[in-house]
Amino acid sequence: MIEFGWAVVGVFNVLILIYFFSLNSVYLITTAISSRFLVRYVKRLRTVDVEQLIASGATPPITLIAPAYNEEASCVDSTRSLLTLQYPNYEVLVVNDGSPDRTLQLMLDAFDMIPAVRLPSATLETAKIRQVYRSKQYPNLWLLDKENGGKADAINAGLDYCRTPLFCVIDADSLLERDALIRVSRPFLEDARTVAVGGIIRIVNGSTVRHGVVERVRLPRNLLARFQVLEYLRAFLSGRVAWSELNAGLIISGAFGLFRRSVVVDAGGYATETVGEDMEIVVRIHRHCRENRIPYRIGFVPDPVAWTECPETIRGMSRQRDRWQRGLIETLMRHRRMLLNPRYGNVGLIAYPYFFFLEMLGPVIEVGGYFAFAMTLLAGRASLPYVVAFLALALLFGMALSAAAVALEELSFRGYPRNSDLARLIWLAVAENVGYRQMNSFWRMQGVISAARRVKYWGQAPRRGFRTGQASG
Amino acid sequence: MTDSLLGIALPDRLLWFVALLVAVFFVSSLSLVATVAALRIRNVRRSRRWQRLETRWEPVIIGVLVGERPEAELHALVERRDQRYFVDFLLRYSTRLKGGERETVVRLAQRYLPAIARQLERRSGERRARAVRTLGELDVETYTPQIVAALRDPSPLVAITAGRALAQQRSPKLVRSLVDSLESFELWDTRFLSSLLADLGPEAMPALRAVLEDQERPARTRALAANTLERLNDLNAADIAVAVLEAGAATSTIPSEQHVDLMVAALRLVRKVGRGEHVGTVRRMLAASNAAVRGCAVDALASVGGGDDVPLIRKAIDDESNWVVMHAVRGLKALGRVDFLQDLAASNHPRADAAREVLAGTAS
Repeated sequence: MIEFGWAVVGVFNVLILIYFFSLNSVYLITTAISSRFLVRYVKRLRTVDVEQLIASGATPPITLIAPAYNEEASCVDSTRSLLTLQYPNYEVLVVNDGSPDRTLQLMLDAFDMIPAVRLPSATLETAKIRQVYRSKQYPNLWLLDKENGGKADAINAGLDYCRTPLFCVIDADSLLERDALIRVSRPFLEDARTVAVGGIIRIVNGSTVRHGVVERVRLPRNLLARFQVLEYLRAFLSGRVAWSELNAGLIISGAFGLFRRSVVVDAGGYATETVGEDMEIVVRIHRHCRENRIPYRIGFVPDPVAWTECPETIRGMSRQRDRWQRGLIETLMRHRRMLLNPRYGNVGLIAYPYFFFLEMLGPVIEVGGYFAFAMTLLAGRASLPYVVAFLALALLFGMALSAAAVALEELSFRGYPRNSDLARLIWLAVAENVGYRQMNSFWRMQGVISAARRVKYWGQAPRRGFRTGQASG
Repeated sequence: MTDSLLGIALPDRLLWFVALLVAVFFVSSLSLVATVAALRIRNVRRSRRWQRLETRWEPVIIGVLVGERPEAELHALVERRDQRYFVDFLLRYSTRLKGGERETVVRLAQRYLPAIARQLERRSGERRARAVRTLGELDVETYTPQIVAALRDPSPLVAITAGRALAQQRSPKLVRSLVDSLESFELWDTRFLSSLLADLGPEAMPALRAVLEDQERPARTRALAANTLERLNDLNAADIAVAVLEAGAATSTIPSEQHVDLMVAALRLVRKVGRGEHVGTVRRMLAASNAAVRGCAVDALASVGGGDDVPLIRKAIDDESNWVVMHAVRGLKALGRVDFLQDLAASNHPRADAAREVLAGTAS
């Protein structure tokens, strides 16, 4: 019986090794694809004159949909920042999703908003709209006050009232850089098949924000937030760039993405019964376009930036990662017929298997692996040289991938101009392998358990709001 | 001999292999860290050097522009290795300046442009596009043959950059090359392309009319021609647009997206430049199966139709699509039927909100 137990542990250990090499090989390949793309992309940017694009009058009208729930700390600042964007033709539609706090009143007061009439352009089902408001000061600012229905429901309500060919979803607590809209809309000009584009999300904690504009970029002082900076660089510059090159990106961050309205409405709008509505809509667009033989492209561009506040506490992070993992599982299970299905091209054959086997099941294998590892070591059934060699390999592999992400950042956009911040990022690439990664796996494992228990809790971290004129975070 | 890792029996030589991998990744990690440092040093040095150069060139170029300093003085400051950067520097000036000052900048750039033209032979599409942009901005006349040739470049980025450079010249001689190359831009957004083509000015109208009329060309290209003619207010294009609509209405198959785009573009053109005699065709479009076509038909009817058409536009208020409803209420407002809209707004009609919105002047 004991021997059988050890055999099971042995099989599990083989699984862990396969998982480890598969995951890191994928990371290695995506990093290689990304570096090739970014070198070309930076050169490409030199042929683009943003001012000229704006002056050309060729930019498509955009509606910015900003769902807000209990955002009293930051809704006014972030809306003000949205109103100063450098784009010739856009509307801002803030959707107050039945916030019990002062979000609605603050918005009404700050922007001198009055009740208005606006005919919906689509008929996606949503919770009841209480009132539509329009700002007297800013004719392009609208506010929908509706009963609570969740973030996806709020976006759907915004979509119902959206009248432009493109819409951009942005979190009410995020800040867009002034030229972010013109930059994120460029793929729509360059390829008419484009149906959705994501921009990069950067962490604002630690940076100086004044009047809704990030003036000075600094690494956060909080260690957890610092780890997330590195994590975001890796996820966006090494990961999403590559998946976008393969037209197989499954995620456009809910904090900043630009979509073709007609395609999203035809696909049925955002799913309200998942906490991962941002991933779900992208997967559904892939599916909708492939099944209806609509030529399409879903892209990612690394230069338009949305700044967002990240959680700085263990509790906040665990909630966020739990929610992300649940969203991932819900989406992948919902569309599981795409898995390894050639009908869905690169999405079904490459991206889906990666997300399904490595991202969705990853935490189970990792956390299980830690226990199996500890047991085997304690029982003295492992060879010390092997264990040391494999641990060193894991550490160096992880470090190399993170260092590559920092190199890509320095090669392309040089987001962190201080040498000390760059040095810290390199140090973080080593340090994150001991502690942070393991904690992350546990939080994601919690997400797996929550998904199995069909928990629907949103798990929002408390917001501090952007601190004007001083470092945030 | 075997050993074990976590209870899995493994041959000894695997340990050597893993050790080798560790060494490889150790060296790779160190190399990457060194790369980051090297990139930072390079970036900082480059940025400082550029700053230094600009500080040196800036006062002299201003002196040259106001005629206080000779051009030779500026050329003397440009070392051979800085020539490409100097051209970039001039490019930034040229986009901000007009008239005689711009001509001076263009003259200053000329001696460095042959080196830029050689970049058109590079393998990288991005480099070729950059060269086309520079040549197009700084001396399109001398380099017209190269830029026209770039319209056929396999890289869409190079082709569109060449298209933009040529369109901004507004030269009648270039219209034919550009219009003949429209299919090279098939991936680009039509709104963007029509804005680019409209830069050609009225000289482009006959060629664009021919494209719109030519049933052999793709529907997307014809829609692009119609959009551009609309921007250019081409009064002579109305009859062709109506013929396109008649031919489209006669098609019995389900309209493709490109076909719908062509119909919409033709209706917009009729709305802008159409005449009373075209109203019959526009009325028939009100029965189209596609809501976008019906909406544009309502718009066009409100523009070219007369009092007899008001009942038809009123009827569109009951259309199943809110888009068509909005076009209808806006059309009625444009035709001065405010009383009707006020009655509608005061009623319990399911579309009363549309009237209220248009009367409040907030409809976008």
